[in-house]
Amino acid sequence: MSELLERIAHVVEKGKVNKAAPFPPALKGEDGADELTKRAVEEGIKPQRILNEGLVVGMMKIGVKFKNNEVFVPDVLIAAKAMKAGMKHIEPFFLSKEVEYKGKIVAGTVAGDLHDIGKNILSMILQGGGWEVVDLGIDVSADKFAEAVAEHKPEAVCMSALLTTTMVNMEAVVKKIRETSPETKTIVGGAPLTADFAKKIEADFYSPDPQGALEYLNSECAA
Amino acid sequence: MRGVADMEASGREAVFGAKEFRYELADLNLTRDDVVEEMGYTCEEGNERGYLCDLAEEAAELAKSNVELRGGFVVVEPDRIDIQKGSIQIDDVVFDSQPIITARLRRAEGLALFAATAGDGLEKISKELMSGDDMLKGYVIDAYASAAVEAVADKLEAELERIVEPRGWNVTNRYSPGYCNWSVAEQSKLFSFLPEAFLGITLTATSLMRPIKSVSGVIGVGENVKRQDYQCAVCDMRNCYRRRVVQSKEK
Repeated sequence: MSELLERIAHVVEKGKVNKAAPFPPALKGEDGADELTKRAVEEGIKPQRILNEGLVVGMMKIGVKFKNNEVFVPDVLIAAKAMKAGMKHIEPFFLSKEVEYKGKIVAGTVAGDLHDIGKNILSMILQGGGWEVVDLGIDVSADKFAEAVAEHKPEAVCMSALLTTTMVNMEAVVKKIRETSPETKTIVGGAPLTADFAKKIEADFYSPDPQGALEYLNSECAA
Repeated sequence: MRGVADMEASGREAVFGAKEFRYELADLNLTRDDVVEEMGYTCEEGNERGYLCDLAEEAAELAKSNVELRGGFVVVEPDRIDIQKGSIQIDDVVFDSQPIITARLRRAEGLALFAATAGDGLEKISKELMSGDDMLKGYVIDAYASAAVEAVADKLEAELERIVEPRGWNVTNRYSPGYCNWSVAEQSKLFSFLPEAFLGITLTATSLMRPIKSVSGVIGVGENVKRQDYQCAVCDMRNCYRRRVVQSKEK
């Protein structure tokens, strides 16, 4: 891996968005993900490498730390912001197919549930892991999930719930996806869930954290 | 504190009728450190995450004109506390409060059924920021609102303690539906003991409180009850965010 790509991974992990960003203080005045990614493109490094060996590596590192309780939500959010600043230099190459996502995910918080922070963090970590995410938002019915699957043809559907009263609505989504698109994997998560519950509703995978979902997708669903 | 109101309860007999309290932000003594700690970090000098402390201060400024801090409770006498079944009966209502909570309320002579809210002002600002380009600031504002409503609940506990103290009674910790296996669906039973539209809180069909930054629950009162250390040790919700924060403080 080139030194520049390593540097990109480092600034994403640390949440250094651009040179002007005041944090983290240890990187004050240094180039951030914005400048470094731009430079990598200008130097002719293949955009797919910049994504896979720079930006994604940085997000992967922060995702693992989050999983291990070494960092908390704010660090993930600021790393995602840095990732986004770098991604804007890569995005044009998605149109020309010089860069491709690993696959597509449909994500949402299930019907009756209005909590979106967990789902948003999941979306950011999956995007940071090289997946295209179609975020359906909160209070998403089984029919809406199914419509989105028919439209976007994702590799997987990720569902979130924060309440015991709403996690039961995941069962209808899993059932609907199985009926209408049996090849699409279903992944569930959220504070009140357990692996037993996921098994009972016949979801393909349960993860207590976003990184687990990303690792499953990378191993089971990546193109 | 802005005021106290004695209210008509739900028509049920109460040890102490429903009381509502309104607070100013200054009453809560909520510091930026409290908010940043909720997120798992600290505001110690030289902290490389000082930006979180700055954002918490910004959230505090916004809160001045965007919170409505209200809380209240009614104290009722339990008819039966069944530790075996993990249930509590009050009048014709049976709470399926589960063994962990029921055991901690078993010696209670009265149960304070409470609710508290910070209103929906900060929630709206947070959601707008999070759906736009400033998720971090949105998240900090959300954390501030969570800390504010918990601080209102702390104030309520203190009010309750003051009210029952002349009887020589103590108070337990507060316990909420959604924790320690007590189903959040039981919230509708709890609100049946409180006045109609208490504090402006409504419940959705899935028992979610609106405004979202609201809490409800029960506190036991009586001569032989006591407050205990924080309860992660007795709760089996492994992925609860509070457990993550508490564990991080212990490290």
